[in-house]
Amino acid sequence: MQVGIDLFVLRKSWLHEIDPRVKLFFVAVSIIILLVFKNIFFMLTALVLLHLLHWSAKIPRDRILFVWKTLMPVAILICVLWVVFYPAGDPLIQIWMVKITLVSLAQGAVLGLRIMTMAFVVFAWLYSTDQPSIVRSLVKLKMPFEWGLILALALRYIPTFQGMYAVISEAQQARALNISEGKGFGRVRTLMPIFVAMVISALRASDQLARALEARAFGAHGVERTYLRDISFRPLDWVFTFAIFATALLLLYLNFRYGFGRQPISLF
Amino acid sequence: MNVRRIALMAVCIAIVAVLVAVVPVPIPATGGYTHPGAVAEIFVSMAFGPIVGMVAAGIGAAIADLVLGYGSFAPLTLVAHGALGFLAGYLGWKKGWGGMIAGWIVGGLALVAVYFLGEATVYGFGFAGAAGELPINLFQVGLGVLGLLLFQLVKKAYPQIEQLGEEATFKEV
Repeated sequence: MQVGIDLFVLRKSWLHEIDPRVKLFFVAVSIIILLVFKNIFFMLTALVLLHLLHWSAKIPRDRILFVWKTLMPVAILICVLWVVFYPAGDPLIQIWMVKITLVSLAQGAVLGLRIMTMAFVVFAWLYSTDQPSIVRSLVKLKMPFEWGLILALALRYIPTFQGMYAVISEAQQARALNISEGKGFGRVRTLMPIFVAMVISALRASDQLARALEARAFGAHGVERTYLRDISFRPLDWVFTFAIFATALLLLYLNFRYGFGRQPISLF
Repeated sequence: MNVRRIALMAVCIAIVAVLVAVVPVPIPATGGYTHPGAVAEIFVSMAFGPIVGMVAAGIGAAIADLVLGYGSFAPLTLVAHGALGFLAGYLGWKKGWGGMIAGWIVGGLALVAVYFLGEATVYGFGFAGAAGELPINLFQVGLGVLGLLLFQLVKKAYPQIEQLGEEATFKEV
């Protein structure tokens, strides 16, 4: 199976231009809000707004459909489970022992939609931010540079090892290894010759990588790092940050003070 | 942190991510698919200890979740797989078969418990719905026992594994 590791979509849009730290703040705040609110109309509105966000950032339709296709079965499963196991209120219809009520239907839909909405929040960040900028922003947020480098190197090596797995797999099949043999434990046992060769190659790569870093005097004392491409907070980024903060504060105030969005169907 | 450990952690994260995202394993009972990520996670924990195990398992599996489209589950995956990596490494690293098996079992159960509680409460599956996921998660961590076999095979074929991640030392002779 071939998987695209870099989710970034290169476009010229306002979302791409924003500092990655603002987008990370948006992700964190949005997830908190989505976990606090339990209203179906709120979730639907959030989902529509997030689609508008993706559309305004010129994210292609197939990327949006990818999220829908992947998470739709999970969302439907959650909805069905709530309807079946947690009936509340008067039944609309009853099929054998299963009572379908309006409240449980709405609650199930809220929880299913929450999974979708949270995913669109995360992908708004990942689709509009390239990997170096993600790592740079985490380092700017005081994550030690070593950890930023670990993340950047890991992302760099994933496609390499993906290719390595394919090459070793083909080589072992040329030596008569049948990789479609068995299921479950049997299949993993069959794949073991590929895993052993791949892991040893990867560990050798780690040794070479360490030598390359040492040769470039990585971690040398008394040396200040410089960057070819740096990120900086512009006035517009401050505006977005305050707008996100103010909106979140208002929504949480309305929720805690007036019960806004606490019920599955009614808004107050 | 020394340079060798940085390189080792990066490579281990990538190994876990590839095994989770790229290698499908058919489930005999359901006809669906799972992944052999636990094999890589147990291997890394047994070979390099709890810290490398936790970082590689947690971040590797979370990256795989993101690229496969399960972005909303990535935080839970980070914690669940990180717990497996840490506990497996803590109990099994540089220990005999007893310690390694205990590490695999305790780490595996921690992963299943974290997923169960997270899905039941934060993600809204409810306890009944989260219980439905238990067999798949148990099967996934069950595959991890082959990580012990992978560790033995790699150690035999590549004995230098013992020194990876350690600071390089030179002795005058």
